[in-house]
Amino acid sequence: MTATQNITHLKTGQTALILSYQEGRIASKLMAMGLLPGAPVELIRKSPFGGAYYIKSNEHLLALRTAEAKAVWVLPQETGTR
Amino acid sequence: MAAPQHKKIALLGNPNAGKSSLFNQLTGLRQRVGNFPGVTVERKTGTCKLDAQHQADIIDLPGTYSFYPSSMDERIAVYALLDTAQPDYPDAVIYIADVMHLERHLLLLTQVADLQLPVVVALNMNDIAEEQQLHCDTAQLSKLLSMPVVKINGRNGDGVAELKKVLLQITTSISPKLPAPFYTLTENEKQVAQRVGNILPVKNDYHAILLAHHATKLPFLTVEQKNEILSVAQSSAFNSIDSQLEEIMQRYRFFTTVTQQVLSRQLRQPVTLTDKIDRFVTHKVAGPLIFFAILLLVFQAIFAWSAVPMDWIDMQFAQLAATLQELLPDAWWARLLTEGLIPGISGVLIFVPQITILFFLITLLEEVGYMARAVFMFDNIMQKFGLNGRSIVSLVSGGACAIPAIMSTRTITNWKERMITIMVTPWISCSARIPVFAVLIGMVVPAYKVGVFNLQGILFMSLYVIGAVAALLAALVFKKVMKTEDPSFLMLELPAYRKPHWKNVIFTLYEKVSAFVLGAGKIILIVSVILWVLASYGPPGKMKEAVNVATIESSVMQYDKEMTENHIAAKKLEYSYAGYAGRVIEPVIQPLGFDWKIGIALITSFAAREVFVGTISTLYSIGKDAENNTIKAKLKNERRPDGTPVFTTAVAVSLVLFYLFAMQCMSTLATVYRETKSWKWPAIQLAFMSGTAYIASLLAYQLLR
Repeated sequence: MTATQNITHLKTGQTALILSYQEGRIASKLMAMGLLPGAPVELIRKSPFGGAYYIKSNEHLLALRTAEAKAVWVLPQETGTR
Repeated sequence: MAAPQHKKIALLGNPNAGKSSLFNQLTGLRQRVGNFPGVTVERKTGTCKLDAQHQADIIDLPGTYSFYPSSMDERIAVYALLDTAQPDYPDAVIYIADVMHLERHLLLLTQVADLQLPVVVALNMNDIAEEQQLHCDTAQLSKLLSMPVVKINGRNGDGVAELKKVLLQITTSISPKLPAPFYTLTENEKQVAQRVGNILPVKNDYHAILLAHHATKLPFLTVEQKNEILSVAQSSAFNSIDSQLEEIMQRYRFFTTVTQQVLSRQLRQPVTLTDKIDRFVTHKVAGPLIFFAILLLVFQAIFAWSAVPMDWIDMQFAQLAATLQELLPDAWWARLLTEGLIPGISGVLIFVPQITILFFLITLLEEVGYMARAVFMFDNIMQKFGLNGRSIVSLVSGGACAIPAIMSTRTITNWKERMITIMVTPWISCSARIPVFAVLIGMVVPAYKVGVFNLQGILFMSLYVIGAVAALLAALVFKKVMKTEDPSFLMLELPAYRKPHWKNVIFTLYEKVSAFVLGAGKIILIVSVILWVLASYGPPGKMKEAVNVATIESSVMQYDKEMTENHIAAKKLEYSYAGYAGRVIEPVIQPLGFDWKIGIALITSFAAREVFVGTISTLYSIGKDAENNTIKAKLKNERRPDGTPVFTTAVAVSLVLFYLFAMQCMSTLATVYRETKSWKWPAIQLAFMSGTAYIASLLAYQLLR
C-alpha cells in the first residue's frame, strides 16, 4: 500500500523517502535538479491556490505541480506536525 | 601573428549557481550582447584579461541543469556546445558549481567534460558553506575529477585571479590534459553513436549520442541530417528517455562517492532563515497579500520617483531643440533635426526613468529570490488561463515596457504557454500609455477627491486593472484556440533567500534598459523621422496654400505672433500627407467618435503611443511644448464646424479604450517577431489587439454619446 503513495499524499511538514518515479521525462528533469531516489523529501507547503507543492530534499528547494508531484513515489516517514 | 588570438571560453552552470556574478567579475563592463548563430536569441559575450598579453572572450551560456533541456533558454546553452562548427565554439569551459549543491552540479559538469572540452571548475558559495560548517577538499575534488578546481567568491571576486591563471594555462597549452570519459555508453548507445558518426562529423561517441537525443530540434542540422539521424535512432530502437535516465543514474553513482570523499559532512536539513521567511511569504493568506502589497508599492514608487527626472529630460530636449532652432538656418535638415530627430530621441529617453525604476525593483525581487515564490504561488491560477507561473514575471514587467517583458518569457518551457504570455503581455498598461491617459482622463474628469482618493487616480488605477483583466481573458481565448503536444512543467528551484548582489542588479538593469532603448528606440526613432516627413510635406503646392490660408485667417482673427505660428503649424499638418491619411481613414474611425484630426494622431502614434499627445497639441494649434494643463484646457474648448465640442466624454472614453487595447507599438511587434521567428504572431497580435480596441471604442462611443 505504501508503495503507491506519492508526494501529493504527504501532509505539510511530513517527510518521506523517494522510492522511484512514474514518468521518464519528469524523472530525468527531477533527477537533474537533484531529486534522487533514496533521498529524503519534505513537503514544506502547498501553494495558496492549490496545484503546486513546495518541497525540500537535502539542500534543494523545489516547486512542483500536481502532475509532477504525483510522479514521485515516496515512502512516508513520520507524520507532519506543522 | 597579426591580431592577438582571443581564445573563446564558455561559462556554464546550473541556474542560481552564481553564474552572472562570476561573468561580471571576469569581464567587468567589457560586455556585448550579440546573437547566437542560427537562433535569434541574445547572447552575452565579454572580454577578460587573463594577463598582460592574453585576452579571452567569455561567452555566457544560459543556466541549465543538464544536457536534457526543456526551456528555450536551456536549449540554447546545450545547442551551443553541440554545434562544433559554429565560429564561437569554445576552446575551454568555466563550470561554475555551488558547494552547497555540489552533488547535483557534478551532473552537468561531467556531461560537458565528456564532450572533450577542457573544463575548469569554479567552486562558488564557499562563504555560505563555511558558515554552515561545510568544508570542501578542493585538492581531492580536483584529483577525483582530473580537472582543475578553483574556489571563488562571485560576490567579492576572491579567487578570480587564480581562476584566470588556470584559464591561461589551459588555453595556452597545446594539448590540455582531459579526464577520461565519466559516462560509459550502453551497447545500444554505442551502436547509435557509431552510425550517427557516419552521417556527420562528431567529436566522440557522447557527442554523437547527444545529437541523436536532440536531432529534431537542433537548428544547425539540415533536414536530411535530421531525418537520417532519426531513422538511425528508430532502426536501433534507441529510446531517448530511457537512455537519459540510464546516463543520469550512472553518473550519480559516481558522484555519491565523490561527495563522500570531499565534503566534511553530508548535507542535512537545518531549519534555515529561508524556511522561516517562507512560512510567511508563501502562506495561504499572507503570501498573496504580501505579493499584492509589493505590487502596489512598486507602482507607487514608479509614479513617485519618476516625475522629476522625466520633466528634466523633457525640458533639456525642448531647450536643445529651441536653441538649435535659433542657431540653425531655416532649412529642411535643420527642421528634420529639431522637429524630427530630437523629439524622437526625447520620446525614447523620457521613458527611461520609469522603466529603470520598475526594472530595478523587479530585478531586486528576482535577485533576493522572491520572484520564484510568486511563481510558485500563482502557477495554478496562471495555468487556468493557459499561462505558466513564470508568466507572472513577464506580466509585471509589462507594466514598464512590453519589450523586455516579452524577452523574459524565454524561461517558460511550454511553447503554448510562452506564446500566450507573449500575446497578452502588451495589454498590461505600459509606461507609454501614461501620458496619453493623463491628458484624456484629465480632460473629462475633474481633479476631485472621493474621501482620501483622487478621482483621476482611481480611474487611472482602474485602467490598469482593465488591462490586466483583458490580458487574462485573452489568454483564456488563446488557451481554447491553440493546440500543443508540448508537455508543460513547473519544476522550479526556489533559491535560498540571499542579500541582493548590487553589481548584478545594476548589470541586469543595464541590460533591460538598453533592450528598451536600443530595441524600441531604433524603431521609434526611424518611424518618428518618417512621420515627420509625412507631417511636414504635402502634395505639391498644398503646403504653400496652407500657410497662405492660415496667415489670412490669423490676420482676420487678429491673432498675436505666437497664435499665428501655432495656427500655421496646425494648417500645415492638415494639408500634409499625414493630414490626407487622416481624412482617408476618417470614415473608418467616425463610428468611434474620432474625426480626421484624431485620425492623424492615431496614424502618427502607431509607432509609439505617447506621440499622440504631441500630434494632438500641434493639430489644435496649442504649440508643441505646451504643459499638460494647457493641452487639456484647450482641447476641452475645441469645437467641430457645427459648434459641438470635439472632445466630449464619449470621445475621450472611446480614445482611452482605444489606447488601452490597440497595438500601437511597432517595437513590440518587432520584438515578437524576433522571439517567435515568424510574422504570423505579430500579425495575429496586431489584429486581435487593434480589433478589440475598435470594438471597445465603438461600443463605448455609441453607448455614451
